[in-house]
Amino acid sequence: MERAMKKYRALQTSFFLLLLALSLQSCLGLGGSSKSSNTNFQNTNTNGASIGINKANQALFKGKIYFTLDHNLYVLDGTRVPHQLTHGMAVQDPAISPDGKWIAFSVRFKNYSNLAYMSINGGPLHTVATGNGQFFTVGDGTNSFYWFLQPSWSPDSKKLLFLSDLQKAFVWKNLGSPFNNAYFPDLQVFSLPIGQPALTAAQALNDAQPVAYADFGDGGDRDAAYRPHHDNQIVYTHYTYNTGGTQQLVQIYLEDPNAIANNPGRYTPGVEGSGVDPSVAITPKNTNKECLQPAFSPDGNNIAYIQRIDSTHMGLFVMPVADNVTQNPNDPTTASKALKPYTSKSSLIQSGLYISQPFWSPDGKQVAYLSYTNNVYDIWLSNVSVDKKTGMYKMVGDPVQLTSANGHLDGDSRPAWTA
Amino acid sequence: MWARIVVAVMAVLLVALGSGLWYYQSNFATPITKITNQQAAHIGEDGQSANQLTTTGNGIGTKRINILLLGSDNDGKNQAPLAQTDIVVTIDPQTHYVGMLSIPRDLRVVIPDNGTGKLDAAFSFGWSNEHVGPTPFSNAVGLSIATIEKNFGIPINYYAWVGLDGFVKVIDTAGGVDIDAIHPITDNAYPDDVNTKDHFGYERLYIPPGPQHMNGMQALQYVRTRHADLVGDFGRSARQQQILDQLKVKLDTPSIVTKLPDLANDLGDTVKTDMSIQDIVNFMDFARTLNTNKIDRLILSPPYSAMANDKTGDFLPNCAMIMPKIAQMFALGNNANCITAAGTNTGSSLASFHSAIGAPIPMSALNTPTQNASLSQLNALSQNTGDTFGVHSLLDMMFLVVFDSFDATKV
Repeated sequence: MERAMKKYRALQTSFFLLLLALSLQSCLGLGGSSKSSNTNFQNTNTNGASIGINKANQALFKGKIYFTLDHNLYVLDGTRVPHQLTHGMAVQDPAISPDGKWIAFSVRFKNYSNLAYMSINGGPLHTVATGNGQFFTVGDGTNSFYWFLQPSWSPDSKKLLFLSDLQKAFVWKNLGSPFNNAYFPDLQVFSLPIGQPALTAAQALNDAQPVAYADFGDGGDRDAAYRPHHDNQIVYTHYTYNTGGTQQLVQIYLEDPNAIANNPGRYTPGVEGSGVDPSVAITPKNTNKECLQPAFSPDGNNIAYIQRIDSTHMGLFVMPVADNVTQNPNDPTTASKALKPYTSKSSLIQSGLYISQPFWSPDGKQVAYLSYTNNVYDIWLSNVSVDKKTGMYKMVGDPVQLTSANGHLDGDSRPAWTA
Repeated sequence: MWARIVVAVMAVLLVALGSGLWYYQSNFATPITKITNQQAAHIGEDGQSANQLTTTGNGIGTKRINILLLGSDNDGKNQAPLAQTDIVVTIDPQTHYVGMLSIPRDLRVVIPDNGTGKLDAAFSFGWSNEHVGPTPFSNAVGLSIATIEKNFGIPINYYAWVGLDGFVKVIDTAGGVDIDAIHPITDNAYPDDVNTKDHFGYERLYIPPGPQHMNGMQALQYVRTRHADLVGDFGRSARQQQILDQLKVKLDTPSIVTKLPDLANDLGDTVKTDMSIQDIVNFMDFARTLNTNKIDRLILSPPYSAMANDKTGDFLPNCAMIMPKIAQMFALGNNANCITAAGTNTGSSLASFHSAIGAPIPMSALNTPTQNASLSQLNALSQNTGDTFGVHSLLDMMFLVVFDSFDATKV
């Protein structure tokens, strides 16, 4: 009995010593890296921040990736050493011109933002339009400030699509109460040519072409971009409340960028279901299927997009996009055709916490995105290919974390990738 | 043998108690002293100072109590702050009835000894005028209470005041929040009234949709804006719930224990009440048990009020609708009151109000020394498991005022 007790105490002591050792090991960070074998982060000090870039072979990529850290613009090429291109400006949503010469972005200020671009190697900043203005009366919120946000390039690299509240003071009386007297602050899609002196908001209003309208009261449109190799089509995310006014309808639309300009007076902004629409939905009108942040593949045949799963989880999907559906968007047959790829050919690539902001490699073989791990946003790379049997995209291998930015990578700014 | 064990146990207990007291005194006593038992000046309905400070009740017991919740920017560096939030909560412990009256800051009221003006100006006038209270803050609260009592006949038993920049500090101390913004947020005229010199200013907001990190100021903007939302407060409630869910995640992590002293300090200058810390804990314990669907809510926005046609931006009370409702909500009987202050706005139209504000008053004016936190407080609070030194309850009280909802007490 006594011998058994001694043996038990020895075992008990050994167990506690083992626990203690494991605890110390954990506290001291001993015992090897907690990261997987496809990561080898090497830190770079930049602008006072230390960020890690994965130097493992699995994180190799071709071309240049532009992204923002604390809203400063950086570029990362095959050497995987980040270079800072802007300093002290609040840069958001870089977009590279199709001719590979320019990078456009928005620059945020209090109350307004500017549209700007510069060489992809950095250098002088060219302002396309400024939203600067003023408040008119003390105690009165009326003002002449404007937003210019989320630029993207036309196929000839001579115009920018962008979001703006340029028409906020327009009175859309045909919408009826309560919109006939209300400001329309929701952002809509416009286009402007580049290459002229910086425009004031008033000049921009004169020169800008309205491209896609928004619905009232839900913040407007997002993610506008031309479809590669299809100059007569753009894609964007449309936000609106459902007719009951309680649920979000978030859909991706395709549209002829000249539909509004070529049909003066035919289309207006509105609320859900209020009027004739120049666009056609390519994702369903379903409050449980909120689809956003489309990104066209370089060949223009597919989009990567995000679909909300719950309040914190999101899925990254890829689906083909139908052709010839923008000419007659209100035709039921056309609408059905536009939605068909979503129902039959959409494939889940990856899901997880706050997966967002997808963007393609120039060769279309990789999709990158932001993912939220260890309470911060970072860029991840995923190899993709088309399954020969199903004709649908699938992920090849495991996704690889490219950056370890320690909280400096901006979740609200989509990176861009060029050859 | 037993004597040695008893002595040893006693020694350990003494060391533990001493350490706990030292920890409390070092980290929590000062902020809790600055927060609690801050008496409001007693100002009569005629606007004249009475001889004593208001006396609070004897705790949340069995009698109906009314609590005035005030929210304002607390940056008094340049001018007296306005009360941007005025809510009266009424609790009948016997029937478990809970009512919540939200009074718009722009409602035109009679401000004792200051003519008529927007309700938010009562706090400012009290701050700037000389009354009996030891500090501008106590005068500000006192005049706010007197204004509510004069205009509606609602007796106020307690008050709690929250500075909006306290919310900003708390979020920043928690490391910010990461949320998926439901939809793009635009606001062409968001009140630029926190950490600013111009309390009447506006700013424009644009918050992109999707996952993003928000610091304290951005989170406050996300939960306060409502101008450009088709469904107004409904949309705002959905956004608030997102922030509350994130805060719950942040505050439930073990690492938050190390931040409790910082959180207490954040609250120290931005929450004030005449309740004791034990009263606050009791109040929040009670609040967390409420079925928020059964709370009787009344907001004096249209149709209970209508915009004045005199370009002041004031809203005039619709007394025919308000009187019976508040009589029922607060069990006032014939004591319910409502003043149709339809005359000229004499006190706080925006143009005249600037000139009415007194000289700059430093923030230190808020810090009224009162009795020190005691060992009995520590003992009382230590019995509340899961709410170390009442910090959680103080946070919940802050969220209740900022979010204007009892749902916020369930973080």
